[in-house]
Amino acid sequence: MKTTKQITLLIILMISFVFANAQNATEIIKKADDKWNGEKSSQGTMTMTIVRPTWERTIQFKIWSLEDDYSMTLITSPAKEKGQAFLKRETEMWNWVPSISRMIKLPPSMMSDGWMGSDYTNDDILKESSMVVDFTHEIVGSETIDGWDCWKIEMLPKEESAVVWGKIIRWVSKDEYLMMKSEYYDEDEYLVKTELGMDVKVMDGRKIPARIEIIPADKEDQKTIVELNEIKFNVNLQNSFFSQQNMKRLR
Amino acid sequence: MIWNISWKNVWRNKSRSLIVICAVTLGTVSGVFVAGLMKGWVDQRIHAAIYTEASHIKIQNPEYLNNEELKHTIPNYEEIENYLNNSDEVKDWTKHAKIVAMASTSRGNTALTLKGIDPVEEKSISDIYDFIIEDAGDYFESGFKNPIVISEKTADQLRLINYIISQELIDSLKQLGADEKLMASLSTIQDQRFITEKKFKAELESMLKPKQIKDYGAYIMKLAKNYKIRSKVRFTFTDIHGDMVQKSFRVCGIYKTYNTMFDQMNAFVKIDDINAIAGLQESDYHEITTILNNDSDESVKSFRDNLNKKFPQANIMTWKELAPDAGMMSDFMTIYYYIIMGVIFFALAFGIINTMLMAVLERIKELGMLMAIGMNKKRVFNMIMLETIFLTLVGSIAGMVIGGALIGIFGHFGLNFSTVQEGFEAFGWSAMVYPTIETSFFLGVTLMVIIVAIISSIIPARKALQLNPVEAIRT
Repeated sequence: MKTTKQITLLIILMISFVFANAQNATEIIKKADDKWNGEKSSQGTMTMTIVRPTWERTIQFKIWSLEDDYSMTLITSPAKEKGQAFLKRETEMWNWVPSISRMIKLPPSMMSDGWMGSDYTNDDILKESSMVVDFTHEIVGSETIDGWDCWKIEMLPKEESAVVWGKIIRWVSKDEYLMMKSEYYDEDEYLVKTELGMDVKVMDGRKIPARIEIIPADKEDQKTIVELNEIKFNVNLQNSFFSQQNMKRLR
Repeated sequence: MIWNISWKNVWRNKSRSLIVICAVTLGTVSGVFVAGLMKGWVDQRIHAAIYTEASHIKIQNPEYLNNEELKHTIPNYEEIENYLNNSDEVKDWTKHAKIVAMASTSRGNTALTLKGIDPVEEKSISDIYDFIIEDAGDYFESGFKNPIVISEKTADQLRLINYIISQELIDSLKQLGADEKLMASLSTIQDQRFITEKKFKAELESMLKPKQIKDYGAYIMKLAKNYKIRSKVRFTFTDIHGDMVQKSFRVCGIYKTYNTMFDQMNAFVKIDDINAIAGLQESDYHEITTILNNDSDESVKSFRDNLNKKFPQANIMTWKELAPDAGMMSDFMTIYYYIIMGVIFFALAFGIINTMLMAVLERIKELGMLMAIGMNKKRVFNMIMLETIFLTLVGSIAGMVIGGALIGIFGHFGLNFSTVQEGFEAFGWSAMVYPTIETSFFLGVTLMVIIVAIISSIIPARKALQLNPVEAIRT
């Protein structure tokens, strides 16, 4: 009698562990996602370095964001592109080009292009597909990346979702939920690009990777590095800040 | 009497006459063959323009031509539908929804037009289903969700064509009797995936000897090519309200027509799969394509004019307007053949003049005698003219027979221009040509030959007429 009870308990425990585990993976991705997208709002400055076999260039910009839906980016350097602003409102993206005084709505055809010539696509920035909703998540192990103990999470796109990847593997640190590494695979499970989170720092009271590298797999000597110079969370920003009129006024 | 003499005169100096006859024969053969080639080509292009690309008559919203936005659907669709169903001039018709979209996979992206079609109806209008590449899927037959048919060009841009050296490839090379060294070097990259033709070629070239590439290169390329059917392609486009939407389709077939430009721009999906997500209602369509029973220019035009009168708010175009290159060619071609023949005969005329002049100068004494015994100038002229006509006619008839036979042979087996394929197909011209010719062309050529003969006989005949019989006899 006692043994049956124990066995039942064990089974219940195992089942709940399996469920908890599945629950966990999605939860972990969600927490990591929230961490990266700031709390309610954020404001900061970044430096992006585009490395190509024959050249290299550095772009500096300021960024404002409110929740998931609104963000504004203003290029501050180099001088040639200075003043260009990008506005994201929900699923739309606008580009203000001061040198020709034109406001451009980015058409679908430009969504897959690299933003400012980098390995970041406009689509990555718009985030039409959600890492949380469009994928199923599963913890497949734990590994140490850059000295951080991480969950290794495999993400498979749901059948109907509009995701181009065949699989994403993401390493999220067990404490702090930092995205330390992501590998993007195509449908034949070949690596397409790797995203690395490095240089974890405390910024505005939060620990976050201050440097992100994107490395395309089959293009040699190519990568894009984004460095976070400064960031503030939960600043006072209104919805009205993210307007086309304001894009032109930003300094 | 005169006819008889002329005919016999032709054969008095056999070798000289035969040389001219041969020249005319060769000229005619090449002219006829080139014309046949051009006609075969143009016919194929026109057939493709109508039965693959445009159909006889296309109905659209005039606004859509200026701005390819989803909201510009065909006005009064139901009335047009009704009219087309009841018209006995219409053989078949179907409707499309068209969306300009951005296609992307994890490795590539390209812009194209998504055509929402009804696969069953479409089959009676467009023969695209005939162009599905072997081993590259089918035309909406496999039953998975959200199927899409894309072109080879698009598949290439989206990196959906891979090159893999498989075990089967190596085995089949073994059966062909390839040497061990080749097999050994190939097996080092066995099962490795190359996502572009360029990379695969480069790898092969670095690994194999020129001789091996020459012997087996094409074979390896063909067998290593692997179309990734069922791959997911994501499309991004703006819906009818101007909002951006995304949807994934899975490749069910890959086609390749002779027209690279058409291929690059068109992908086909089932209309039910895109209507809802694009926000289109029932009876919201962007184009209607029709095939008529009578395909002559006049009946197509008059049908267009009738439709125009009935539905002035819609834009109605014939295939000649839709594929102006093919339309222009079809109008211009007949003149073009005759220009080619004209140029050839113009050059030949000098040879004929020369020969006839020689024939006349050689026979001064004889001509003088004929005139002295009372043959009048008109007859002398006729005799020389007929001689020229016989000479050229024999040559050109032989030429037409040989040319016609050549066209018949090549029209059956086809002529392959695959070495310059890419250039041709960029213009929508097939690299495989089946020459063909109309019988009326032979009549035209015969007429031209006679005219050329008459014109080129003028100088020799004048020379003969200027002779003074008394002096001529004494030379």
